[in-house]
Amino acid sequence: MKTRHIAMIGAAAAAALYLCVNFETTEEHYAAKENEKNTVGSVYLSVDCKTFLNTDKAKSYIDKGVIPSDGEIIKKTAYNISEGDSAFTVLKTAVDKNRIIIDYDNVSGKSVYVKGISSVYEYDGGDLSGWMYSVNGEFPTVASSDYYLSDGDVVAWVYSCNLGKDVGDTF
Amino acid sequence: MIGRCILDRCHPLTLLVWYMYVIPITVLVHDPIITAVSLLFGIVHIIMIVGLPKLSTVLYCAAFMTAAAIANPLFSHTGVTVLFFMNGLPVTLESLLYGVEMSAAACAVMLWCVSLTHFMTTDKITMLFGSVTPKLAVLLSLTLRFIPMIREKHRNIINAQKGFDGRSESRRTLKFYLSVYSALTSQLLEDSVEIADSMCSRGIRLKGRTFYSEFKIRRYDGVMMTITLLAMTGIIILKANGAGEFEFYPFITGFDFSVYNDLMYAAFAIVCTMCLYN
Repeated sequence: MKTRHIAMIGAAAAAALYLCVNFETTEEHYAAKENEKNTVGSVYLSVDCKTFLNTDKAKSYIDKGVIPSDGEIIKKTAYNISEGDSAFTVLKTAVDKNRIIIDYDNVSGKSVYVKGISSVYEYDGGDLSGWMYSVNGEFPTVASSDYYLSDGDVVAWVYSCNLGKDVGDTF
Repeated sequence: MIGRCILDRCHPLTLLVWYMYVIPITVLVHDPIITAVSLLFGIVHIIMIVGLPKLSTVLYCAAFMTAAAIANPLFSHTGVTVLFFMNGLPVTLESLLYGVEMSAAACAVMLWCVSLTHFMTTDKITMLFGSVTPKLAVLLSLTLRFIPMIREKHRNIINAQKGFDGRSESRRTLKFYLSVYSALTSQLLEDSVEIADSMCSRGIRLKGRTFYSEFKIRRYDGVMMTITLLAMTGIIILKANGAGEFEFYPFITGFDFSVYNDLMYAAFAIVCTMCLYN
């Protein structure tokens, strides 16, 4: 009786694991993103953490090759977008192309919060630090996954050490 | 107990100081060498002196530790060495190693707690806190005594109820367990009233009551206490000066055998060896 219960729970757990979790090797993860959908335009995207360079941790990060010495993780590049692409999905495309790891919370299944790009995390540069994004120079007040892009937008992901005041956000 | 050990003979105060040194440092200093030293001494101490607990307990512990080590990389994605991707998020070597280190530290603390409950018997606790806070001492010793007593009583009542019930284990109803619970509660209440009465009649509440204790502070207590307290002060000073700063995230800093760190490892290891000293 008891053994059967354990076996059933084990089987259910294995099935849940198989259905809900998607395991990929590093190569598979970066290769899978190549198939393009029909493009509706292109946007410019850049990722930089210049404000992080002033912190104590920056030197060891640069020495280990985690971030480049000028703080520009991804230089301004054009990326094709398809229907329904948001500031977050473009960032995901860009980091996968450049083989940079990012970490984000996607708990509610809709809005995404980006915690870290290239091992530079929120709170690494002080209590008020974290990643922000701007589109055409303005800092939107919605989550990056809810901001849908249109042709010609300029998206900049920047690391702020002071709630955005040091990267040009006025609120 | 299968071996002899100085922790068994020494004064309760020495014992308390010793555990208050080893356990917090194992918990608070996240350095793989400190953890390894603590775990190693804990294992040898348990095997040679305290005696192994039941195999099932050891297996449960091992399963829990493995689960804890594996769970960390599933929830923490920090780290630069990517092993594979899970649901689009990286699973990294650094967070796996951090999980292993944390579970090893937890394992070491569990071993020290097994040792603590083995050597810190009720009479020693009563002796330690008796003169300071007699109420707390009585409460502690009563509570500690109650736990094994409850288990014993529970087993007895279940055995008795089985005779009345006559059904197999899988067919027992909630009513059966409720009646066991009710009997257990009333027995325990009765017992505690009896204990309270007997304590009162022995004069637990009298003013100016003195305590008899069979423990004396001997010379080796002084030596042990001095070494432990010196090492404790040393480690606090070294930690304040930046020793034992092993970083896992986002990349492992590597072992640092600077003078400060070496002193800290030595201070910890010397005190740990006392648990094997006869």
